[in-house]
Amino acid sequence: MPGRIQIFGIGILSWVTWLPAVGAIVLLFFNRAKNNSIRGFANMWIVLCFLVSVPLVTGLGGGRPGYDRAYGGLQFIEDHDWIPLIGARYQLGVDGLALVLVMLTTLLGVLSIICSWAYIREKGREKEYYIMMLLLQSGMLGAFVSADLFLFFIFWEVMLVPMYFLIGIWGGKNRLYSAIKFFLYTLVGSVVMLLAVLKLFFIFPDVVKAQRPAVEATARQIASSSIADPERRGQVNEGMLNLALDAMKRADGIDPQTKQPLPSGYAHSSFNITAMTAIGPHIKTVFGLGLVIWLFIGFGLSFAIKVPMFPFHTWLPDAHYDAPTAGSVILAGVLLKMGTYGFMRFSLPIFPDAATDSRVRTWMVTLAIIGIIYGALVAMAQKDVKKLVAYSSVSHLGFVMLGLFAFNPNGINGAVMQMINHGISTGALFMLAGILYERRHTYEISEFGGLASVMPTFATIFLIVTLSSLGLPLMNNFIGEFLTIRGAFEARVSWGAFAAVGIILGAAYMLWLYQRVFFGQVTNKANEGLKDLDAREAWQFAPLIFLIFWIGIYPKPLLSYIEPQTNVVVAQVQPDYFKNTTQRPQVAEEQQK
Amino acid sequence: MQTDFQTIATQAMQFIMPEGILTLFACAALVLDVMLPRDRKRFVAWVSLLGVGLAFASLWILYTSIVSKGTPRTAFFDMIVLDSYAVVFKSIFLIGAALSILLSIKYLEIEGEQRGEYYGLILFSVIGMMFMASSVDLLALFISLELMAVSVYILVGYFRRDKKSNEASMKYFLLGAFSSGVLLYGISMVYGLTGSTNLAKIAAALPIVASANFNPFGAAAPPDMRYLLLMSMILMAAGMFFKVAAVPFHMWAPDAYEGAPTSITAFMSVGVKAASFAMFGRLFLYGLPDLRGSLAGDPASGIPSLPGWALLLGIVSAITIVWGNLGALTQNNTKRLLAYSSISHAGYVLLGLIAGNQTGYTGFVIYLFIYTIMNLGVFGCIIALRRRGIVGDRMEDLNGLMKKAPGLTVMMTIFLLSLGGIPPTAGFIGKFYLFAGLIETGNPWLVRLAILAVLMSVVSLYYYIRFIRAMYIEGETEPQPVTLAPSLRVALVAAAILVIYIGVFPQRLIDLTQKAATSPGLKTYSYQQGATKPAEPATPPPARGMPGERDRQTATPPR
Repeated sequence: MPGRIQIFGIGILSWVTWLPAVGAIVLLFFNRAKNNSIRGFANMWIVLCFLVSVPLVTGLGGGRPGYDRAYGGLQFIEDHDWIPLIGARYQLGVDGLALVLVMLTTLLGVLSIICSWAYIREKGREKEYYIMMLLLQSGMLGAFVSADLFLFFIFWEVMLVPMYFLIGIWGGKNRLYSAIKFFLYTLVGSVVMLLAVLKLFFIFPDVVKAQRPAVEATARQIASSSIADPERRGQVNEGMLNLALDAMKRADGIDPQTKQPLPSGYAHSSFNITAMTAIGPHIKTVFGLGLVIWLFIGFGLSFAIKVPMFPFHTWLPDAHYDAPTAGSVILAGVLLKMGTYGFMRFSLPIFPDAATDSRVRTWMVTLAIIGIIYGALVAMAQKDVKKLVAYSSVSHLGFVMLGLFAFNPNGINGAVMQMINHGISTGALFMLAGILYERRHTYEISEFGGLASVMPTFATIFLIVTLSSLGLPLMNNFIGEFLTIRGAFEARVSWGAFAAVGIILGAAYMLWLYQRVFFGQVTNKANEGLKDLDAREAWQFAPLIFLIFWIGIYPKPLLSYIEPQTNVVVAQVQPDYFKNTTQRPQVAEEQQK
Repeated sequence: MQTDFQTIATQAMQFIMPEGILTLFACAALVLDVMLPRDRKRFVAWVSLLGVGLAFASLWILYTSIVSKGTPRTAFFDMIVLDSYAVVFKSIFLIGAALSILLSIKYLEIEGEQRGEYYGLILFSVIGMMFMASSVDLLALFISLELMAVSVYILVGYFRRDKKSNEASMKYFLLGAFSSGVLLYGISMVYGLTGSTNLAKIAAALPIVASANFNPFGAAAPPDMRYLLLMSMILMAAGMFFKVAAVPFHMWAPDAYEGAPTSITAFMSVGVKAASFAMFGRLFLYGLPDLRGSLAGDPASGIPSLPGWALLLGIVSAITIVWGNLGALTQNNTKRLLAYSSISHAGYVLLGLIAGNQTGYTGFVIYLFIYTIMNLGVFGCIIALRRRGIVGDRMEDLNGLMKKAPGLTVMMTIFLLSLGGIPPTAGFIGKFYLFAGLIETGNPWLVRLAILAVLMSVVSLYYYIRFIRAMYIEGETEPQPVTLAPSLRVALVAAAILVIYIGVFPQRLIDLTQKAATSPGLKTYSYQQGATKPAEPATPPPARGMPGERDRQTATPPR
């Protein structure tokens, strides 16, 4: 049974998305001098936002089930009229992939607001800070839960503004430069994506009209291939399918609710993402491969900048370096995932013909591998903790991209695992770096040394996170990297080999960092009297460390959320894949029909 | 006979009711100015505001009782037409005028120039604008244009003691008069070629005049009238480019914008621009639709085909967008910067005309509507900075504004993000429509134009962000507090709410502007013929996404 929860008649996804923004509006009315009440309210509110998102997984009792993993596909669907004249609808829904990212976002939201407790008190302007954090939270959650491309795009752009302020106002020395660089870089990508979205919108009815039966079959297959439960094989995720079929009816000029022709002036098209995915494999037959590739580039550029992939990564180290700790945590933990999420949700399933085109694929994989190795090498050369972690992100996200473009379940599962893991580990690393900065007001590695003896708790947590980040077995990154590399080997041996080199380099720079900061004698006098973590600082790592081990030891629950969506993507990009294995026979059956 | 004339006359007067009301109030403003004592002149502003309100009400009555019922009506022997296009533009002017008057009251007091004729002149120029939107006759169009322009020339030089203001007025007047002459020259040639000043008749005569073998006098070697036609089109376009401040006729804009009283800068950056675009649309979509694509030649007798105005507008809009945005990057005076930004916005609006489909025309109207509100908002915020001893038009004057006036800063941020086209503000909806129009054509050149335009909108954000940076991040440079006069506050809050509301729920505005864009007579154009073939020759050219579009099947030769 698909998840469906309403609270006071409003769907839970709306609650999850808009609650932070409501908190931001409430904060507007606080007296800005009363910092304590502002801080207290913001911390409580963000915890509330997290609690509201929990029923997505657990359900709420009383016939209000949570996300049904075995059923897969989009659930908690909300569908309302918004701007019918341009065919944009207020459609929300999460699949397994979006769900885990939503949970990651709400969790990291809590942690980032808690970890900025002291830093922001020192920096000042707390009211504006918490307003921006909450708005950012709404923007990110909205992008993950949108089932309508127009809505998605709005959230996608909205995110930029609060992040600009977070870096620009509360950031480090070079904050003005970094903030504008971040803003303009990502904006270039998104405006180009807007044009691609528009093109997709205009060709949608043409493709539907030209290839009606095939498009409907694809929609049905998307809605059924996510069902993992063997007993329910052959069933269809009705809610998801209906979204797509409604969109096709609108393309015919018929209002799906009233069955009447649409009023004059209404757009005969739709922005629905499932419907777009359904026309994906058929754009080529109607308009030719060239257009598909251009659209792929339009979307892909935007996502590649966000990921960031190799030649577009230069904004990342600056933004990370100058962002306040909470900003870095959110940036690394969630914003970068937007890019990879975009590839998995849009670029691969909607443009499979472009993604599998050998030129495109070679380019993407090459850039991913360059990112892995280049990021690692540059990280090794850094003299600064935060920059090192920032470059390690480039390397880790390279793994994600490699996994995605392996086009097999292992690779894509691994890539999604890596997205989550990177959010957890790198988020934790940035929080740790932030604590170092709060103590010493510097990130220079050479300023430290021998901290293990002064700050033992800190050193222990740092060690756990370091080991997790470099992929020690029984910890989260190991699972992700293992699956990714397995997928890469499956696709082509040399890709796997390059990725493996990246892992070795990753271990090298992380361990070297740890050695330089924590081992040896305390040489710098300034470090002698450093305080170890207090209770708040120590406990804020508890959920992350729990997740690190849980995912590392027993990844099955997490994988069970991810897998259905992975299968949808693989079925789109490599329809033949499941024919050769017995893993997912129902997809193969669908193919034969 | 006499009764006939009477009914016609009363009906015609009914159609120009809003303009009539405004004329009465404009005259009243001039008279009141003489009667009121020096310290009570502010009363005139409220009277003019009332006039604008009444005009708006009568416009609304006309819209619901006549225009929304269907076919447009003409009056004064087909000189004036009352259709949705005219009504939407008129409402833009009235909203712009109301906001400008609200912005002006306190500002003029600070400057010590509070006089009734100011408001009278604003009303007169609005009357001119409103006729520009509804005239379908070249002469009526020209006279309304001049009514607007002359009023604005005076307003720009309104601060008589200020040298900059005088200089701006002089420059604007000289160049404006020159461009009016150019426009008139073009008009006279069109009249000579088609024998009429009525746009509908011109449009009907065009296919004959524009044909390669047009030979009215039976000459042995027929003169190619198409060159003359194109020449007149180019002259008219040049006149219009001047009025909307499009490159290469934009030089007056930065100087005039900087020198004029800020409230007038605000008014003319939206009112004059929107009115000129309304006229531009009438002239080119209503009067010269057949000159859009290429003019067919005659390969048999070796007569080449000639490009139409779509190419001209495309090039001009590309250059305007690039030049305006790059020019704004280095400015330090906020008024000058916004002048360049408004140049670039003129380029964006042109995109709607170039696209030639309903989506593009809707974008054309909706963008002007939104631009009016957001640009007035930005100027209003700058006017708020004018205090004793501080002009408030340097970038530094914005420094640390967040500390001094958080409400004002937030509103300014909304307007700036809207100008830059960031959702969920109205500006995004406008840009969305303009780009949608271009993409919908499927023409590779127009898609390239769209790519250029979106990339340039990123550049524009660089300088809009400079304001935001100054307001939020830079420290205070001068301690004088900023207070908002009540009238200014009303105007700004209303504008900010509208910008957000339209950004989130644009449905009603789109509905209204779509009606304006589908007014009869505004002919659409399909770039599909002549464009490169799609990959699948078997599929027929499919219907486009946006409905209600009647692609005109013009005989465009394949390139």
